[in-house]
Amino acid sequence: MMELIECKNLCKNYKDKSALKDVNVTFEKGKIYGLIGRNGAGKTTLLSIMSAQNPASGGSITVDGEAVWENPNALKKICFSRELNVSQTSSNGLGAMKVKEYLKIASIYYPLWDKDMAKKLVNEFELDVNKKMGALSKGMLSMVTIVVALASKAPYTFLDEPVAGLDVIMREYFYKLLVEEYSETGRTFIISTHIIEEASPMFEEVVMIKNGTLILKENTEELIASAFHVNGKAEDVDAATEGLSKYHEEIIGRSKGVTVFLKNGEKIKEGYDVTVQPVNLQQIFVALCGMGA
Amino acid sequence: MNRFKYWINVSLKDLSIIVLGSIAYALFMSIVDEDPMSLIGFSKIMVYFFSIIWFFFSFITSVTRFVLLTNVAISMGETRKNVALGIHLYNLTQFIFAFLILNIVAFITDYSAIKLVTVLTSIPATYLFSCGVGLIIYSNSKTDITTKSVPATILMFVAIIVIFSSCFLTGIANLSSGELFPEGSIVPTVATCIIAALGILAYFIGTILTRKRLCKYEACL
Repeated sequence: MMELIECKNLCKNYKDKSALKDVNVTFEKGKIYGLIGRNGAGKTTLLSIMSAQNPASGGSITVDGEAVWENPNALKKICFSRELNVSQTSSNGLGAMKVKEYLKIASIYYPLWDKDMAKKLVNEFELDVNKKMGALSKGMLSMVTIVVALASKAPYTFLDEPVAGLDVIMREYFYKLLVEEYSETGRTFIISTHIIEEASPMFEEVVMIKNGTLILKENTEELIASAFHVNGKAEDVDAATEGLSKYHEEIIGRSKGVTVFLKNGEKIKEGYDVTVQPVNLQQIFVALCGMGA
Repeated sequence: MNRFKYWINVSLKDLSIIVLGSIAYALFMSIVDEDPMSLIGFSKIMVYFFSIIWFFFSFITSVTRFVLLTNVAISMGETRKNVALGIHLYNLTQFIFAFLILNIVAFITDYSAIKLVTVLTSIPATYLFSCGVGLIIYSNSKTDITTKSVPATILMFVAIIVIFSSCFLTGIANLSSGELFPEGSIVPTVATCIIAALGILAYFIGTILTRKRLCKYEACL
């Protein structure tokens, strides 16, 4: 049996709003996935449903062939270290809980909890475990979620905006820690983030969600290798990209810029006065999910 | 520490609430014969008044804290069935301790028949109130927790039977003394009836609100 998380026809409705629409996606074991989408696209909803924290309106989720909902066997393989923010912590009472209490609960609930690793990370992040969660800054709350995610040692670990509020040095340190952990254990990480360009080198595959619909799931390197930005006079750009899938067209005067994805041996036609440049993951995201895309 | 011990721990942590509630109740029992206009009577009434307000606020805080812990537990992979059991363990622990403490208090002070039945009535009423408030809060909490279960239903019926039989016994005890409300019994009897009514009302509102969410999430016990 393949070790993977499988979502079939997943739907989630909130009254009259559809947060997820018929999502079919699989996450194989031993990969780092980047889950990207705009605010409100459905990333957190997808992760919370996959970890049974939120019931789906329709469809099914299985982990290594077992249904996730109310299934302790499946749930013990998953850690969803959700983004904590200060307004949440004060409104639901989490703010009154000390960091050490929160970590204690985590140590009880995650069967593979690595106490030494948690201790080491707390020291390295210089977290005061006697502080209440409500007294922590945004960055420190992110550090707590990182400690829980990494020390949980869960085979499938989901991180929702893990670097929110962290300075660049801490972000770099987190990426290093994550890659080290991945190399040593081969755990599966699904990381939802808005800091795409910085995190993209870690992603083996990228999953893109737009308005609750899965629009892309590709190997990151192959995706980047297939995407190009074509720029030049509008008529030249149109001619050079004729027949190709075009995204994010920008017209400034007589100039035009367009992002194209080349599939199955497709090529940008030669002989036209256009500039062809490779694009990065963030530019691909903007092309597919940006305003007017 | 395993999960079971964790829930026991959580349940025991908030027992101070019920202890203080019981002290307030004991004070209440001791003031019924005092002249409220005397200095001692007035002081006792004031102490009782603030104790009971503090008790209710603390009780709500305690339940809210418990809901938070259950939410944290679910966010870390606990099943809703286990959480539901944890909730009942929590309520049951409070119930048992309230029973013991109130009985001891009643025995030490004055173990009269009226006070005994009042105590007996108020314990299941407190339990129902605890369940009811809990259910109302759970049914409105962001995390979907189902608390409906067979043990809860049995306990609810037991509690209701105890309340009604206690009221009946109060009536018999009072009538045997010659009048329905002999001197000194009207305040505790009325107060107990109010607590019992609030308890039953809170429990039913909570149950109705929670029922809406039950099998929808396939997590009924």
